[in-house]
Amino acid sequence: MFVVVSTISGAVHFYSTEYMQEDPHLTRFMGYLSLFTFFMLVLVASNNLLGLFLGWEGIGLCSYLLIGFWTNRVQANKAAIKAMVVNRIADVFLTAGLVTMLFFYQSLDFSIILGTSHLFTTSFIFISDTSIPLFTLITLLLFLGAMGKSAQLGLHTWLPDAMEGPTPVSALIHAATLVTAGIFLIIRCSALFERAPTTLLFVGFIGAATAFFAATSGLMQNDLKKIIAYSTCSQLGYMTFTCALSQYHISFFHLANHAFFKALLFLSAGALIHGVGNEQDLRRYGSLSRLLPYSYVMLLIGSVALMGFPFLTGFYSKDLILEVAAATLAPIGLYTWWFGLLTAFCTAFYSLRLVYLAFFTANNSFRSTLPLIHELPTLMGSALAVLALGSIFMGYYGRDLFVGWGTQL
Amino acid sequence: MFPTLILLNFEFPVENLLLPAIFIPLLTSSLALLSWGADRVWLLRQILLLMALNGFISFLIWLAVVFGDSFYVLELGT
Repeated sequence: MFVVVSTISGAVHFYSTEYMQEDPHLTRFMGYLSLFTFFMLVLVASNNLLGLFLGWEGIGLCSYLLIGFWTNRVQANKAAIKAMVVNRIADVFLTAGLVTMLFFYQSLDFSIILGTSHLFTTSFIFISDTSIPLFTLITLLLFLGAMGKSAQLGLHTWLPDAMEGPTPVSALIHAATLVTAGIFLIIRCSALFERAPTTLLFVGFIGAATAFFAATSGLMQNDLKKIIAYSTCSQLGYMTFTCALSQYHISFFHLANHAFFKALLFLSAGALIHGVGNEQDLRRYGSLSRLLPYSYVMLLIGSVALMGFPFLTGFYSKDLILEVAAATLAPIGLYTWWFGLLTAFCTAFYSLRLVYLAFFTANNSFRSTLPLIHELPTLMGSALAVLALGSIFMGYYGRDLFVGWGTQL
Repeated sequence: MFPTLILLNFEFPVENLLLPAIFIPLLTSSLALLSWGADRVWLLRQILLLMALNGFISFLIWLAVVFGDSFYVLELGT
C-alpha cells in the first residue's frame, strides 16, 4: 500500500506541474497534494488505530481543500462541503468503534488488539434488552466508518460530485488512494471481522449492491469524469464484497491493481479535457483518436484493464474475485457472484461506450475548439506511461506477491 | 542489485526508511505552502525532486518486503 500510494502520488505530482501550469495558485495546489500524500502514508504505515485515525482525518481535510480548490466555482464549493459532511457522518461511527475498542482492550495498538481478540469471543454488549456480540458491534461501527470513505451505497453521494475538483485530484484522491482507505481499514482489522459473521454478511450485501448500483449509474452518464467516478464506486464494491468472502488478500490485490488503471484513466481523461478546451461532455467529443493518438492509447489501456480484458491487470484480480464468489458455498457467495458478474458486464459496456463516443463517432465539438485541440506535453505523457506500464503488468507480476506463489491462471 | 545488497546482505534496518518516506511529502508540502514569493520554476523542481526521492525510498522498502522476510506482514484474518 505504501508503494502504491508513493508511486501514484509521484506520477500525479509530475502530471500536475504541467496540467495546472496556467493556474496562479499552483504552489498551493502542490502543497495540498503533498500534504495529502503525507497523511495517506501516515494512515497506511501506522501500527495503531490512533495513528490511522490521524491519517484518516488528515486525508479528509486535504480532500475538502482539494475538491474546493477552485474557490470561485460554486459547484466545487458545494461538492467540497458535501464530501466533508458525508465523511464526518461516517467518522462518527468510526470514532464510536475506536472508543469501544479502547474501552475493552485498553489499547489501540494493532498487535495488542489482534493478539488478545480471542479473550473477547464470548463478550456481549447490552443495549436496552438486546445483547450484541462485542465483535459484531465493533466491526459494524468500523464498517460504517469505512462506508463513508469508500463511497459505499448510502454514503456514496459525495464521490461523483467530488469530480468538480481538478482532474489530478480525482486521480490521486478519488480513485487510487483516499477511497481505498476504508477497504484498507477492513483488511487491517480482518482478524476482528472474521469473528463477526453477521457483520460480514452485511458487508457482502452492501458491497455487491454498491458494485451493481454504481455500474448501472455509470451506463447513462455523459460526463467523462462522472463515468469514471461511478466505475470507481463500483470497483470499491468489488473489493468490499471480496472482504466479506474472507478473501482479504484478493481484495488487496484488486485495490493495488485498481489504483494503477484508475489513476491512468483519470489522468488520460484529464489529457482529453485539457486537449479539447476543458470540455467534459462526451457528446461534444468524437474522432479524437486521430487528433489525440497518445491520449487515445492511454485511455484505451486503462479502459480495457478496467474491463478485465485477458492478461491485463484488471483481469487477474477480477477473475479471481468472481472465482472465489462462485466457489463460496453459501447464499452470500451466490449473491455476490451474480451481482459481480452483472457488474462486470456493465463495466465492459460503459467502458466501451466511453471509448466509442470519445474516439470513433463523428466529431461533434464546436468549430472554434477544433484548431485548439492539442496533444499533451512530455511530462504529462511520461506520467501516463508509468501508470500504463502498471496497468499492463501489475496484475501479472503482482499475483504471486498478493495471492501466493505458484498461482497460475 | 545495489539496493538489494544493502537491504539483504548487510541487514539494513528497513524500518528506518519508513520515517523519511513519510516525512518527505510533509517537507514538500511545507516548502510549497510556506515559500511565498519564491521562484516558481525552482520551487516546482524541488518538489518533483523530493517526490522522486520519496518514490525511490518506497521502491527500496518494496524490495525489502519482496526479497526480505523481516518486515511488516499484514495480519490477515484467514
